[in-house]
Amino acid sequence: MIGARSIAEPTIKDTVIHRIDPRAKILILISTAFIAVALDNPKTMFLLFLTVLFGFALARMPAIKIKTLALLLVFLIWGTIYSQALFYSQLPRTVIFTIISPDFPVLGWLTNGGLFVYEEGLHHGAIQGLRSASILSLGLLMCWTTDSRDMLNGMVGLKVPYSVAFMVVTAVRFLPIIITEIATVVTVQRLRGFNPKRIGSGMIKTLLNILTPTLANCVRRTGTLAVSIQSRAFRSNLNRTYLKKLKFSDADKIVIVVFVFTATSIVIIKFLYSMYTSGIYYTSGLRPVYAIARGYL
Amino acid sequence: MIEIKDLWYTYPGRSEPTLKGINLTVEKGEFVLLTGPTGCGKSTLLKTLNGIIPHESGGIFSGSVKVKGLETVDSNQMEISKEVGLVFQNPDDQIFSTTVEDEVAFGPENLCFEPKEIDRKIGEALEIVGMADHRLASTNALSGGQKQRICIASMLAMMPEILAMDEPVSQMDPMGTREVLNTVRELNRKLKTTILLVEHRLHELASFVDRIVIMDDGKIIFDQPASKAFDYLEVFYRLGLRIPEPVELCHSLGIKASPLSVKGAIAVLNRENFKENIKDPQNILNVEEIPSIHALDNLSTHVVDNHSIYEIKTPSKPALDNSPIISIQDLWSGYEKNKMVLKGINLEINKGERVAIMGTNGSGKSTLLLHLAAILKPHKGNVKVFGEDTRPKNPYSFAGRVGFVFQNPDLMLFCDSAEEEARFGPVQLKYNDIEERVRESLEAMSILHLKHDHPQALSRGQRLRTAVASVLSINPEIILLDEPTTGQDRVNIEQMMDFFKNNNSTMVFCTHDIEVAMSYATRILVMNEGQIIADGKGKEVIKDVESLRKASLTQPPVVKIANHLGIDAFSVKELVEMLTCRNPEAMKC
Repeated sequence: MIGARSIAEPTIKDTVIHRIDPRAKILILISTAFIAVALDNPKTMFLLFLTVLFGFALARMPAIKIKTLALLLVFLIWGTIYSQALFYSQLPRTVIFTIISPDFPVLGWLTNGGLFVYEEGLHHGAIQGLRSASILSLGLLMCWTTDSRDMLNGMVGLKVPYSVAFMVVTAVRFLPIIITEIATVVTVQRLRGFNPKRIGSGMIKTLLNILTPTLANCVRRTGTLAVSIQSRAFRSNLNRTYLKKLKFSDADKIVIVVFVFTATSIVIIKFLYSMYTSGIYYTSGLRPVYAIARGYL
Repeated sequence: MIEIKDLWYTYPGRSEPTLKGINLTVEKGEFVLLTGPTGCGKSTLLKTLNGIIPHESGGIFSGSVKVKGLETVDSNQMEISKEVGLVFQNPDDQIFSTTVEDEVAFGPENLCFEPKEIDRKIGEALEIVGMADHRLASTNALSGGQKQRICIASMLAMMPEILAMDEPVSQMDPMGTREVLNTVRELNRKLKTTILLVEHRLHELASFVDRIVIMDDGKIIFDQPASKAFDYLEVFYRLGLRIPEPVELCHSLGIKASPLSVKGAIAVLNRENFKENIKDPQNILNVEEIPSIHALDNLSTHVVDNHSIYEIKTPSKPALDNSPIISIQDLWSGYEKNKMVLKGINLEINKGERVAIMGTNGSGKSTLLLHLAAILKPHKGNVKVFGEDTRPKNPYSFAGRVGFVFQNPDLMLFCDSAEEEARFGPVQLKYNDIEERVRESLEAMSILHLKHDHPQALSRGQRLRTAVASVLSINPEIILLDEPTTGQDRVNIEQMMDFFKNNNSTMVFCTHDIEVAMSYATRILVMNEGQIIADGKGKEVIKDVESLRKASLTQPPVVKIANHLGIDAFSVKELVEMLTCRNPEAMKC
């Protein structure tokens, strides 16, 4: 139960990643999301993924968080690759393995002509998986290296309304407690003779049973928190002051410029390249740009 | 400072008002204890003080609440927030920042103070609550008492003249309780802060306050200075409120005095010449010769030649079996490899024993309990329950044989009615006499009439009793209770514990309440920093002042008084019996 809490809470250390301004972290995350969506090249995508993972090494994350990340990535990448390999619909496609033959009684008809693993599907799934994995990993890195209060100030600094930012950060803050409570409810059921892990009805019933006490507790806790912050004059004034004012360091500014410039450049290059491939616009002066897009992006 | 006149309030969606014609005046600098049974409207009354009711809650509100002359209904909430600070029971539900500094800064920031001013206010507030050294600490790294002091500091940083506190110490160990109460008392004395404190633990707080106000069913039924409040004991008994032991002792001895502290009681006893009249304490029957506290209910005494002769009816002793039902050898356990919570625990518990585990927050009590239900696995050593090693087991393996009542009973209630809750276990375990078990367990907890109610819609005390009924219906061989008395009033505690006691169940429970431990446990373990530092019968452990001190526990007031008189007594009844047998002429009744 305590393990679950330490996974969800940030690990505060003094590393180069921790020192990045929270606003810069949010901008890096947004830029990286654009880059990941724009990229199609598996090698570049893998490089991006490795770069993000290198961030974890720089942040000196504890083993429990690395294990959690690894588990999430395995499920995410494997799930994406497998689903894309089965349901890839683009042509041409090459069958490398047959799961259900079209001639197989009933199932062949039910699956509308069999079920196959396609080579192109695996390839496409790998890119999709790496895309999601890069964004997920970076998001976790940001959350695990930023104090919730700094994140709140960061969001406010990026013009997110204070009330909205406060709600987001507070929800994240209480997530570990909710995880602990869910674990307790499952234990209670087991002690009363119910096997929550039983496949089928057991799992469904467990989920329903978890819902009532955890929701009721959340409502009670939210009520207390609401009264507590109201009694500390939350939203009693249109504006508020801040004890700490965030200040960009030179390194923060450089990092932001690099990421925003890279993301913008990649998106523009990909846009121009896709205009060329779809026959909308072409100019010979942009040949080097097309070459970069084809070869690396 | 506070003036409430004819205040009525009904929550949205309810037909019955929660507050019914409240009239209350509190002067500047007063320290008022507001108490009463669960659900009587105490917390609701607090929320009217800073305008949360009715500004944020809605509902039907009538009457007048004036704070420093400001009518709360007509005032801006920011204005009232500056005057009244609210502190609640569970600090974890109030703290949302990860550092102490940020948490304390939240209020002044909302009030638009300049950063320099905020910085100064944080420093001052932390200084007042004795937490100045923890300014940059993580809020997760603090103990319960420290967290609650941070909650108080976060209110003080806004410099309110009134501090309203809703059961701020109910979840704390004795040390945390003392820390918080001393802080509040200092605030009251030095800064003349008006304090309005809601708490069940009247017996522990009475000596700190100036005035005691009792509510029942939405009304104020009692309002007296603390020094005179206990002249009306029948009110406290009727509402099931616990009375300070020194008061109970004096009243039982027929002395017309209500001392709230040990010192006061000793002064009264000295005045009545009790100590002088006990010429030879050795002649008093040793307390070990008295069979049990509860046997005294059936005790009659005769005085023959200055010697006491006790005629004892058969005491209801638990049926002890010498075979260990739980056996722990060199148990090491922790949530992180380099931070062990339990450090080499060795323990055997026999069938029929009722074992109380005491110690400070974080001493490893709950972790030990979790091992007994196979919820945790040992890092090193082994735990055997019913002779079975728990390492390859999980809680499901002991379903039906081990029952666990968690500290927060709300997490144990997931069915649609109290009846379903009691039925869940027996149905899963495929027992035969399900309906009989359900009825008996609900009846034992006095909630049979609530059997169709949704458990989450019941009051706090009723929710606890429903959770206990859900375990009782299984009739487990071992019952584990993790701080079952937290936030509960005396009636709920006694009903639950009496049942287990009369049932001769093997029971292991964690508690901070030494009086409950003394009354219900056949054995007390004291834990400190993951180790058992004392283990024995309640009376033996209670004499071990050094171990108690290490675990930040203190002897109950009555034991301290008995020590002063040079005799061994461990409850008010025992002390009264011994004093009256030895010293009948001193009785004034």
